[in-house]
Amino acid sequence: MIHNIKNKNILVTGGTGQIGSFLVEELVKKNANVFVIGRNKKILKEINFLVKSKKVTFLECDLNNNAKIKKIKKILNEIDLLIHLSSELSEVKTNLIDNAHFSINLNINGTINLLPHLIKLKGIIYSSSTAVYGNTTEKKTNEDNATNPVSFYGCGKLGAEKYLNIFCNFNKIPLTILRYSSVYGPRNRTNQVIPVFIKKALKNKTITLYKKGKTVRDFIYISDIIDATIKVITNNHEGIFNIGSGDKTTMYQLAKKIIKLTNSKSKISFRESLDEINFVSDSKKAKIKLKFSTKINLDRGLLKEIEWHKNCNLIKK
Amino acid sequence: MGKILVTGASGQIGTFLIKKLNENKKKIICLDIIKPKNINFPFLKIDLKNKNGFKKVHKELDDVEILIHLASTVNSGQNICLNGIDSVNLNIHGTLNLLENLPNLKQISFASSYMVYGKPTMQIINETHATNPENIYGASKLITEKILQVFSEKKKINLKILRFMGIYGIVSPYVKQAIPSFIEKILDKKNPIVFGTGNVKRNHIYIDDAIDAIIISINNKLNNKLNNRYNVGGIDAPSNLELIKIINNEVGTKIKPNFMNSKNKEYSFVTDINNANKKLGFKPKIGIKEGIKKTVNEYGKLRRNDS
Repeated sequence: MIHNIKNKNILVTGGTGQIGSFLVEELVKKNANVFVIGRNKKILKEINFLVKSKKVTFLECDLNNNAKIKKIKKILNEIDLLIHLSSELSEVKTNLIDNAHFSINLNINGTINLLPHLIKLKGIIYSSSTAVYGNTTEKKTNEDNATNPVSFYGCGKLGAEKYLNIFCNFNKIPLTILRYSSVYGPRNRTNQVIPVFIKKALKNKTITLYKKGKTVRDFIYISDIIDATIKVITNNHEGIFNIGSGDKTTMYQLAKKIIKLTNSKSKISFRESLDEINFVSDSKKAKIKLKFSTKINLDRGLLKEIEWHKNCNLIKK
Repeated sequence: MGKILVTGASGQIGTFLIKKLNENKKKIICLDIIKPKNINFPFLKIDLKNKNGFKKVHKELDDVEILIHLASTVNSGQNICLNGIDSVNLNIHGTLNLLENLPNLKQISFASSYMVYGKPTMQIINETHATNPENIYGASKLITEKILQVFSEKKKINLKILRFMGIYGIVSPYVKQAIPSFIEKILDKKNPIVFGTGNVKRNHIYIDDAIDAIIISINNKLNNKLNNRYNVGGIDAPSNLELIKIINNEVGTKIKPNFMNSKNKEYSFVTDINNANKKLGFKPKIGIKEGIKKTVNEYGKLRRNDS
């Protein structure tokens, strides 16, 4: 993998998302030539100013559309490093099978369509998800754990990992797969628990917990994710890495914390049903090989995400 | 037992399977892109990739309760830029299209492959072995397993995944695996070609035993969602050199192989079939000597008919 980022052509897919936008800023600071692929040039969000000031080149393209990919072929031909974040979306369609097609298209077809054009590629970093593991226990899960996804999203991510692996072996290109735990922090526009709880707490609305609030998760702050990803680029490491905090947080603890940090009057209610997945990451491998450790604890991180949501509300008003 | 749908019915396994199901008087319906020869079952000409193709056959699929899913691409190359998309579109999206059109499905037997494992890290590979496929075929089979798993869990369907070793005993000009290619060369009095040293071992399975495994799997009601993957392989695990010796004995020749360098590193691949034995009651019956004898005879017949 390339050690020096300066003046290298780096392609970031999903570069307008939460991880993508922070990573792009960091890469620009390190003087890389950054290219971002996205579906809509009108929705650039936080990287808008970087595109406007020509520090980042935005390529409007849908990776499921081969004709559109061919139009940007010349640029793709010159890419040194692919940072493939593709999507942070999980389930978007209401129909079960439509969801499956969507996830396979986005993660697998999209990836395979892009690869033939990256003829000068020297490395791939793929941001996968701990959803590939499926239903794990409360014990820490490491990279050797069996992968039995319980969602089509997890199947799509696992599929992209496997096809990328074959591509990289065949073409002798180093591949790093990062399996991120639940990412949170500013620019979190998903429907994951943290933004949902924060939004409820800010409006003093009741927060509903399932399974008695005992489900455990591993939350990792956005700047720690960026740190790990930059370490992979500069330190030349191949293979699969779990990137998590390794800290267990129950949904009950999380809701309590958020209510306290927002000075909210929200109450907590409990409901049965709904399957929730326990996950706690064992990131020993990243600690040792990447010398990675998390710097932002949950309280500090939550305060920053809460601030961001408050500012978003102010802008809306 | 409800109606059985067999996809890939005109393929090499499918042809044998429907013959056997016919003998067992099962109610079946066949699906493929080519019509199977000499069948008296209802046949649906459908390309799984084509979502719209299902519209006209809704009624026929309505009462299907059991799916035997054999339809698949066969390309086992490694260049995903050439053949990767086909495998995703047929094996993965195609399977999803199929599932969407089977509203009363209760049971699935899926023909997967040992290629889902990739490079072996155990001497005898059981179902807990890591899955890091090294080719397109293995990757598409693995991800199809995973989507079937998610779907079956959500819809409460009894799923059985059969991870087949290489199947032999099929006499067809399209088969290019080790055993048929050795037999053809030796019958032609030519030197069979062996890649690498010829010492790598595989527990090849004879076609009749493979069919047996499928039939057993649909008759078995055991539903263990955490343990529904079964290696299906043969009794013996001969090396390629041993295979050539057995074939020579059968044909009455002493033809030596030609060794060629292999592009990829060849390794032995022997699967542990204990799980299928204990949970499904699967027991292969045809040893390699008997299987080779049958296969050589079939090739002999084919040649006599041709000439």
